[in-house]
Amino acid sequence: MKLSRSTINRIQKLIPIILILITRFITTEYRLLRPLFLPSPKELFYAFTMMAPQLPRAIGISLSMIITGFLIGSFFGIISSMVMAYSRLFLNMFGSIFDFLRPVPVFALIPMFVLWFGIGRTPQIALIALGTSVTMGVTTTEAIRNIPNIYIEASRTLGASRIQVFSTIVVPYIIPHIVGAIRLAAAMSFGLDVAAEFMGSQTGLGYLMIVQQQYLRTSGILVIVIIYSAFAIILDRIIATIEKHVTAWTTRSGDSHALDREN
Amino acid sequence: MDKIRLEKINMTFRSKKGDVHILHNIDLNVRDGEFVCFIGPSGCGKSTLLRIIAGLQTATSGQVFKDGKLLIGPGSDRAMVFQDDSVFPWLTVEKNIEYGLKIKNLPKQERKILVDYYLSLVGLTTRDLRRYYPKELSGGMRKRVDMARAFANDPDVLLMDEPFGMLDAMTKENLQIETLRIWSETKKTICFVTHDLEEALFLSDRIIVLESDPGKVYQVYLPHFERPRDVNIKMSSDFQMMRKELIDVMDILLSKESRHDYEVK
Repeated sequence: MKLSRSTINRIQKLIPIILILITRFITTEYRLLRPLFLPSPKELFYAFTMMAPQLPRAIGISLSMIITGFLIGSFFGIISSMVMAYSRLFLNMFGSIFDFLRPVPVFALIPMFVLWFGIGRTPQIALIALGTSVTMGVTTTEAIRNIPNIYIEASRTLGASRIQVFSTIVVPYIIPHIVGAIRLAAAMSFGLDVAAEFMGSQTGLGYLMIVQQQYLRTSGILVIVIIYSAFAIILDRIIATIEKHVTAWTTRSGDSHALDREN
Repeated sequence: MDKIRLEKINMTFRSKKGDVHILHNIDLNVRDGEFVCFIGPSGCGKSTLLRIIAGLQTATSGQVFKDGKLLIGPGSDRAMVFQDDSVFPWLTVEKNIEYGLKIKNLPKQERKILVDYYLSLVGLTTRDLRRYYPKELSGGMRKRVDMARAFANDPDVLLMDEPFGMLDAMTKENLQIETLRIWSETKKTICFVTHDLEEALFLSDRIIVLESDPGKVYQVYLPHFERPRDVNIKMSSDFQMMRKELIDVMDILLSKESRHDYEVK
């Protein structure tokens, strides 16, 4: 029997997951690891049922904050990207700001944000929004600068005006980069939310996590990590689906390995 | 009737190491419907000259006229086919060809008729090619799309900057034949830059040899082969003799250049 390449790829992808599960089963079953460091599935389930009553509210609050921050950030990110794509003046002005902000660790700004916006949801949303828009701004600035000149020149000799070059060349060229940046930013906004909630939140998943930490309930912490991850993965999948559609024309060939592509 | 007239074109690039004089006092006329080839050693400014006609670059001094009117900036009356891939990768084959027509705001039915016509003119009607993205095509096919896009826009003048430089010999020869066929069907004026002497002889009415440093017209050849031309004329003794002549001229220009390099050092 000959397996198709995609089946082999799928099996290869499963191998590490299976190995991790086996290792985990062995270590917990034979008590090779102290449950404090890595609780068994049974304990996780127990912790989950313990926290269950608080979870819906916490999830609701955290998700609404993440999504609000993410949407505000994406909105500003996209708007500033488009303005930069259209006007050299804005690219020069804001491009340098984004270049400057790029290496600044957003997380380090948390104390300042608490100071500026007080405790509560505002600093958290603001932090997520900032992280998101900077990520997007940086990516699109780079994308605009990398548009091959030949496309611009070709469209000019085909009669395109400035605004037409923008709408028919610049925008389609940078859209995949913007969607890629949105995907990156979405993943980042979950991390930003955790960090933000560590600073004086009274509700939400991050707050729940701090409580678990204070009582040294590893299993509780892990449950929350899993919940965060689950939502982050769902959001990532949704954006990835969109990404697939808008990047159909790019030459990137999905899963294939750089050294042995069959195409 | 002159289609394109160049008057005293000078081009100087400023760089840190000093000014580089690329083109020196170029005066040139291109007749309506003429096929002109530019050849010369690399760095002689033949591409720059084409880009100046296209309006993508502005000459340091001098003027370009089309039909007696001074040209400023690029326009759809002068389409350009580049050496590198300039087919828009985010558009399908038909959308690429339609691009200039959409810019011109032609009605949909008219666009469709033109796209169909130019797809068949460059021989891209097989299978469902029109719905393919450029990445799914071979280099030669992409070049055909590129040419179809330029011709479909119905420009007065076609500027081709070493369009077949990146293609293999077979594809290149095919596209040369197609170019002549399309040219005779559309009666466009074509300015064609190449470093392939055979290509220049086969295609053009007139070959303008440029010398470099600074670029200026060195000699003009008139390949007088009867049209329509068949590929087989490439084998004729007449053709080969002219080719030999051109090779000798190029050798002189190249050795002049290297001697010049030597003197500078």
